[in-house]
Amino acid sequence: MENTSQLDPNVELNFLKRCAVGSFMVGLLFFHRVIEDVVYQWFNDEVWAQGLYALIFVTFFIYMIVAVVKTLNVNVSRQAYWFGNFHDEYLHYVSNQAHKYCLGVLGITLLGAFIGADFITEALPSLDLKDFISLIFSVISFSYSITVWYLLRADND
Amino acid sequence: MIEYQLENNLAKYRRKRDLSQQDLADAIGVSRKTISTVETGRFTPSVVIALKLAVYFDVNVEQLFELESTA
Repeated sequence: MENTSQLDPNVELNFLKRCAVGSFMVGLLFFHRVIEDVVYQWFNDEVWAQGLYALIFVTFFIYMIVAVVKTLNVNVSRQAYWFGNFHDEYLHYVSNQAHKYCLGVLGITLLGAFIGADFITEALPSLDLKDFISLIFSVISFSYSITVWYLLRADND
Repeated sequence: MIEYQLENNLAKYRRKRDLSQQDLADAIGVSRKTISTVETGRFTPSVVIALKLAVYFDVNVEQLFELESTA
């Protein structure tokens, strides 16, 4: 990490992209925890399908580790690294928007869960508190990464 | 109430100088995404970037950016 104010915007861009990938993978990890049992039930006796699912998950998990390690080695400012305050204006805007949407989606999810708490408890009796927290983590992670990807979508030159 | 929309001639000035978005981004020290999103109107830049662009193209800010009423 550097403290200088003259930073290469491409370094910041790569850092933000890696954060989005890392966040998406964390989301998958938590989401996997919730849907794991359901998936295994779908493929009841199909060992190959369970193996395929496990292989896909392990591949994603390794990719996540690589993305996180790469992010740790990047030369961005402390402000960008810890608080999402990027030197580049558009990247700063993207980071802010992603956090804003993340908070909005989290609020809507929690409100929906609060309103439908009785229904959820009846419909999914096996859903425990850890599963619910995992689901919330995955919602947070997915909303952050999808917002970043959407705002950094390809455009013409 | 009159509503305004920000229009810009950035792409026009950039093409006049035969510059790519990356060239312009490097020249004023921002990311290519900043230039491309300003050009397409998806992002409104700060006064600092507007002034940097005006200085780079040697024009007034008003020649690069203008407000058009939509009402």
